[in-house]
Amino acid sequence: MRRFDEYHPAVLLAYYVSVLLFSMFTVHPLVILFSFTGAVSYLFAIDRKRRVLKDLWFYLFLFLLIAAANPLVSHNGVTPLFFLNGQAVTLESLLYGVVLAFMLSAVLAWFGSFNRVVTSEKILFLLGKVSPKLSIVLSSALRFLPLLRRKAGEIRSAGKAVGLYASESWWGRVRSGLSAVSALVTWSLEQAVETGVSMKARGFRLKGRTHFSAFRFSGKDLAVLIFILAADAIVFTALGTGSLQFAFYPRIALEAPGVLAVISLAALLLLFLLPAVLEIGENIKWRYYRRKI
Amino acid sequence: MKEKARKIKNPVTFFLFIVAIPAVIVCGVVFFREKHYAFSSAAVAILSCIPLFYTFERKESKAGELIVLAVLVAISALGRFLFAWLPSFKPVAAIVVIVGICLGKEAGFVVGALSAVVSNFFFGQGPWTPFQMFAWGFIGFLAGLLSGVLKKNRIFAALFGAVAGVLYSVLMDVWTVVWADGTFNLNRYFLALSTSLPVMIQYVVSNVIFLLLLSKPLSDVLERIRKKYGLFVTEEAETEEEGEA
Amino acid sequence: MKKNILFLVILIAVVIAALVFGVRIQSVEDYYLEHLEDVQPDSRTVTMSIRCDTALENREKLDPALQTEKFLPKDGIVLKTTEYVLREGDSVFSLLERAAKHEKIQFEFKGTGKNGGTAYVEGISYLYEFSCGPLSGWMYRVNGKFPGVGCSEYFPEDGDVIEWVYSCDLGHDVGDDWQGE
Repeated sequence: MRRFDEYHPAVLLAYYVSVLLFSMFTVHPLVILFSFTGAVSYLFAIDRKRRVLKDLWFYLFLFLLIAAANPLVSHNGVTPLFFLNGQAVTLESLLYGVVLAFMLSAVLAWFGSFNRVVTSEKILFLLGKVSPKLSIVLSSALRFLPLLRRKAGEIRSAGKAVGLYASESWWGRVRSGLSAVSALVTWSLEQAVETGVSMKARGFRLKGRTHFSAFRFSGKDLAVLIFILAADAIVFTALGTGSLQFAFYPRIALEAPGVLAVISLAALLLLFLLPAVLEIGENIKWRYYRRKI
Repeated sequence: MKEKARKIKNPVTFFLFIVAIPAVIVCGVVFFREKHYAFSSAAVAILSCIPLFYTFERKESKAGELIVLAVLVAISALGRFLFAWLPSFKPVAAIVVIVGICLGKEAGFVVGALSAVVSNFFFGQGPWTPFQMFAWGFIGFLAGLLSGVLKKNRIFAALFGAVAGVLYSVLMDVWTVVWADGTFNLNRYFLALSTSLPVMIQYVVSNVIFLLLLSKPLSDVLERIRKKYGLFVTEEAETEEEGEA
Repeated sequence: MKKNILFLVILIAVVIAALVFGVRIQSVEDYYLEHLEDVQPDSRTVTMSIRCDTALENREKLDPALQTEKFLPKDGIVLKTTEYVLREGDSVFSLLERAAKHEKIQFEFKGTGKNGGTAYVEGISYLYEFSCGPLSGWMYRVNGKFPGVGCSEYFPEDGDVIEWVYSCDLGHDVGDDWQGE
């Protein structure tokens, strides 16, 4: 068992794609609730508590906004609470808004952890396997970014020294800015071409190049991948056969869920909680070992 | 008038349109029945980027061209970063349009799509990332396609940028509404519009301003680099130059 | 931090203003307190009915949540033919609203329906447009013909027979031949 972010990038990708698909495109309130719980608990596990709490406030705000606005938009439902401008504000509509708000918050929370876990290095690794040229462009772009910032600063200072930005008029200063931009672009593109020449000299077009791969696919990765795919299979079956259907209108579906629904909900709960469980598990392991020292 | 060879661009496009896209739509209906419109449209948007990436990957590119594209991506991402304090005021679309016009439609697409990815490394990826990739990518592609017209006059390019801004905003709104309700709910659309209208106006204004400001300096530099190093030689550009010479 | 608080205060002020000026809230009992005049021999009246037979005929296309007796009346009658006193300025929409309130029939519409605004009926008795396939929705007939204008723009006369019918086929299955003669 490792921390979630230590698994192979392909596993991470499979996980996030599954989780986002199920969170974004299903409507069953339990699914959304589980997703929210999993996403937020993982955030709590890996991030500073304060940051996550601030996020939670934002989700709450979104929550109120969307949940309260939904009855304005949809007046279906058998339980009117009161009437606004001649149309019903119903309990069902309110609940749908609540679920919608949870869904949005869950998706945002998942992306929150995604940004932390799937680093540019991992993305480049995956991209390199699929589309080497694109990964060259992407990795070069990422490398040039700080370079350009620095150079832009230098050009600006040089420009100031030469008296470029001294113009009184706003338009004059814009023109100075533009000439600086032009200088930056010219310089960087010339650099780019030179880099290209040096790459060619070093044989970047030749066949048979190997590349360094920082990520190895191990047995643990396979185990987690199989778990993810198995959960996916169960859930897709349930979705495809309509076992996870949930109606809000005109009345909230309150029949007892079938066997397949229960199994798939359990699978989803495990799936959503996976990263949090792994992270907390590792923390516990560490504390246990440290106490033994 | 040059005769355009009408071959199947590549087997990938063919496969995609005949097999993959219908399959995805069916999957949407079967598995995500309440939200299948949202799923299918998002999936199709993402899938339609694949042929372009594939073409880019397959064709012959000089190393210099790749790095030039990389630098342009970095510049547009930097531009977005610099104007972060003014939300919705981004030079990215303008830069992408200019790249599409000067360097061709594939270059425009790649710079557009990758600008989304790169700048989101700093701003945070979100559910909007695939849409930004798709939107900016296709803006670049279209700009390249229409480069004959857009090259003539800065105003045309600026108009194109304005239209692109509107289209992007409308697309995002419609998709969000369809995602929320599973069908197009006009009430919700008006609600979304009321919040997104100011943003859309900002997009349009920023696109127009940046295009007017940047098109001359940027395209001059790009043209110079092109001619000096013989990069981004496209068939249309070749015949143009032959015509001039 | 101060800017955020200021923004929040303004937002709350706007919401309160909107609530006070733009919004009319009624409790459920108030809303359904609809008074109907008694039909006198000399009053101007129309008859109105609401039927959803086509939904019954196309059960397979119907939204699964609606497929119970509770939401889909077995005989297709949501409102049996009833006589209503015609008031000054009544449109088909205002009549529907009155009848629905009196009979406690749920309905949803888009638009304002009053003061010159147009109204578009999206659903009656939980049966909505698109509930029975993408071509389904509510339409209304007056004296057997489809007026083809919004229901808030048609002003019926004494003796008119108004029928609200649900169509699963853009009107073809209820006799609307807008493409024909």
